[in-house]
Amino acid sequence: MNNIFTPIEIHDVTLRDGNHALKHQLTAQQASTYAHEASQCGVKSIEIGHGNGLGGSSVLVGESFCSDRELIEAVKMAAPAVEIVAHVMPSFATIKKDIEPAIVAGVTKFRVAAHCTEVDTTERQISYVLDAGKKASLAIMMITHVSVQRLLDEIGTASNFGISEIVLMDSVGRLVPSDVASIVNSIKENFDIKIAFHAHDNLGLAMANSFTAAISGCQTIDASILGMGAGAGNTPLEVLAPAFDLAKFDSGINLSSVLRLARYSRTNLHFVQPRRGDLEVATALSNLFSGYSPVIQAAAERYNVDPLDVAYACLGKKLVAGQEDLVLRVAEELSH
Amino acid sequence: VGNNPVKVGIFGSGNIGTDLLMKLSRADNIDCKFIIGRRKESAGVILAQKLGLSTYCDGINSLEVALHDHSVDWLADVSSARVHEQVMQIVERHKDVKVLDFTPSSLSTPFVPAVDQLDMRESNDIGLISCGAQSSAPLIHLLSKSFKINKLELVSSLASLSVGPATRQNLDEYIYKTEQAIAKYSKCDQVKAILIVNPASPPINMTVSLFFELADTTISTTMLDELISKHLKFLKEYIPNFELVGKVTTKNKYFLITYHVTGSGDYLPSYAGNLDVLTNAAVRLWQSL
Repeated sequence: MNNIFTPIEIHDVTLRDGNHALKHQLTAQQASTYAHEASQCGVKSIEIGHGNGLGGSSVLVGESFCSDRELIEAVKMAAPAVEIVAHVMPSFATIKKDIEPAIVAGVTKFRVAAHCTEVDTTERQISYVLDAGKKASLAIMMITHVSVQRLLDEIGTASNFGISEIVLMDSVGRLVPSDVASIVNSIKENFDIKIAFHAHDNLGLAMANSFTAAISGCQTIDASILGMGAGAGNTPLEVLAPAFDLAKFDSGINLSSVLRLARYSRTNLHFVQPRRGDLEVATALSNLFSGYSPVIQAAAERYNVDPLDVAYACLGKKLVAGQEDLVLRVAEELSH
Repeated sequence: VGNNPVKVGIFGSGNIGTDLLMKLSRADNIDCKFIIGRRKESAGVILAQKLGLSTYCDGINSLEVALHDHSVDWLADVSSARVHEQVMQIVERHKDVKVLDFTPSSLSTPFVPAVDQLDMRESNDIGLISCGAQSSAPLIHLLSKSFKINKLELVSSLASLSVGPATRQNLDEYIYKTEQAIAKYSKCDQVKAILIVNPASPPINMTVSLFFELADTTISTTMLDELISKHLKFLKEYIPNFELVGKVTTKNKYFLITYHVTGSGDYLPSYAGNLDVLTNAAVRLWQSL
């Protein structure tokens, strides 16, 4: 019997993607307590901030209860040993208003993110982060909007940006395990680069996809406690860590502690476990950002139309992340 | 054609520079003298040759030569925010040349022809800010003249194909400059600008959403609808294809106004209203002199 464990990193996105499930109302107190407990469990990197990343607080997406800076400082204080990571989308976040202050507050790694066809918009911020002596990854969002070949072309564009890691984000929650395997294998055949994988659970496949990603050779898998994340949520940390252990992947996470953390997060921190209803499946079928389901629900109630019809109508508009204003307009149009 | 047409040179032959060239080639009272690109095969340079204009292909290195060869009243800087500073250093040596800045550089003085009086006593560097700010400034001006605005957010969605390499490098400057301008026109310092690049095929029309909170909570969406329809002519003055999407609506305590801008389809198809917003503003400025 093979007793050799393969190392794998679980990257904790509870305090960033999970902020979507809290309607961006995460408090510095919650962040501080969670970060401390998670680091005690063996979590080594924690992503923090508004659900859409640094600078995401807006009327468009939702206004934060605590500023990114307060949240970063809370994590830094509570869990000094963890790597503090920020998700950054150019044009929500800028260098002066967001990245510089985040570095001062304690962020040591940035995932600079772009829609899967617009990777060249990240070059400026990536180079700033690297020049500042911090780590930078390229996060490619909504990867179900392009073919594998286009994805490879975009990674090729980014190959001279100086990054050592890309993050494949299934922001829609529409990938199936065979897609994950073929995407990861194609990237490995063409590029010598670390790969992280970020799942959403709209089709109930977040665990299966995360597992496939690990088996296919991704070095880092994103997860959040209770699966707390946009829409149907992410891969649940307290499920992924034990499953990895059984499959002989060593994540360094203490299994009994992480189960207690899940219970504590629900009962004491009032974290919210996302639900996967018909609307979350419909947004996946419509290839929409997972975080649009509450926006669609609210717009449908507002204009008294069927949320599923709104989701399908959004399909025709080919919306990317950050177009909540147009979801409202789609519902308004349907009501006429 | 008037007796003294305004003489213009164009620095930059990308999407906006080429669209500007096409607009200038048929505009009365504007005489375009040259265009400067970085490659002799760029679309703007080839078009300029067909039109019989002087062309230069060595980017910033050609600027001094072009300004020496041609006496122009205005230089249109259609390069990038970070090159704008170098442009100004060269123009410095040509005292009679004024600059119209199409980049979101922080150096130029924000200018919206529908709202501002041209005042060049302080600076010879006038900036058109950004497509988002330029297209919304008349609307924001109208709102701030009528009401006190507590908070304002501007979200522009542009077709990926209309966003050229310089803009992609200048997203930060785009945001800063847009926020600075909308703060000025709204007389409100709580502002945010967001830019979304959408790759949909067929491409989406330029779409802008304006979220705002008013101090006076008795204002209704109907009152805002009426105000806008009364002043539609002002809002569309040089943005003929400014088209409201739906009515004024609300999100929580904020009002929401959404509009499309389509272009006349000169260099890029009509979805790229973001080009026309700037190039039409330039034509309008030069024809008003």
